[in-house]
Amino acid sequence: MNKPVLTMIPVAAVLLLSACGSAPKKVNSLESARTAYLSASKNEVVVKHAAKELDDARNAIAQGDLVWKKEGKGGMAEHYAYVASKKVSIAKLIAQRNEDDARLESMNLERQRVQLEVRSQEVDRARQEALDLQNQLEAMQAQVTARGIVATLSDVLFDIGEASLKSSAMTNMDKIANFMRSYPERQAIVEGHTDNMGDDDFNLDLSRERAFSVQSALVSRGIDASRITTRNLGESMPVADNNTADGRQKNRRVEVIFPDVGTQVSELAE
Amino acid sequence: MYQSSLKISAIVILLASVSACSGTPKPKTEMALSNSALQNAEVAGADKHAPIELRTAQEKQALADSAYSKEKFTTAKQLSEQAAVDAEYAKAKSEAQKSRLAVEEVEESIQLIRTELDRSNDQ
Repeated sequence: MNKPVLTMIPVAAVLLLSACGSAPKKVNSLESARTAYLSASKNEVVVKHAAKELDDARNAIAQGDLVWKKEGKGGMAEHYAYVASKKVSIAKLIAQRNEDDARLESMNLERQRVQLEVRSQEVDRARQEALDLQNQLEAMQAQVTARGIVATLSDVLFDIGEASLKSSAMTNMDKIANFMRSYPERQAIVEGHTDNMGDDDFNLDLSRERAFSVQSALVSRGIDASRITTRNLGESMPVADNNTADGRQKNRRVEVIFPDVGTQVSELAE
Repeated sequence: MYQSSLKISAIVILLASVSACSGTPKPKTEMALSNSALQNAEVAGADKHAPIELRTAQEKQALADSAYSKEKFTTAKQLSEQAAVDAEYAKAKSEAQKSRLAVEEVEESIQLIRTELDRSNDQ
């Protein structure tokens, strides 16, 4: 950085001394300014945005030429060269700034476009998730209730008066296991229910054993046992009239309940 | 700064050789122009984006004021012309920097969003 400054002073000294004698043919700084000006004036972008500054540069060079020619005054020519080359630099900066501003506009649009893409992807994803859940619920023939998602396994899926599941129940078990695999955050409560006929102890045992059967069936399909709680409610929660055969069959059921995520299993009243 | 004041004194040496003219008009217009150019540069944030260039302009303006007060009008005229162009340069540099920074910021932002988009696409 020191070099150009130190070389200016001896040049200045030369110019001062040569005021009386023959002047050198050219002023270097003026020639540099001229070169810079010519180069910049060929640049369409610079001409487009900074024509005035280029004109100022040209005028300064012309004045420098004049002063040098007429009076051989190096100092004055240097001054005009300085102004001219600064004006050229300014012109280039103005051009750059304008180009960037134009770029900024189109880039802001691009940013908006990409943001929209993200948003629409999110919407698509949410829609797909809702669809997937809907499909799974239909497969399980489950209902959405205040207690959560409820899949009911009817009496006919069990051997009569037994806790064992029929082979026809296997697809039901598959569907429930599938659901639990797809939504790993879900817990299951398996509730055994009976009708009000017959021996109370027998009914309680049966409903409890049936709940265990369902639990085992799910565990054997790879579901973690810790995700399943069993409950035995006997005849305490009928869903149909116990005075008809049809109603009694409806009451003999096992319910698999999936509480809404965030609900504690213990929060659901017995 | 040592270097900028050496540069300035070099120019003053060059100008001194022509200041002996009599009947030189007072460069009031030039002084006013350089003052407003300095103000414009400051408004554009040159103290942040082009501090060195701004400083040069301010120093030359101070020298111009000093020359004016000593009735060295030709020197004052040229110094203030240089101060004006230095200030314009500082302003242009600041404006260019601000625009460039704005572009880079949006570029970065688009990159981030695109990365997020690709990431969630892979899921």
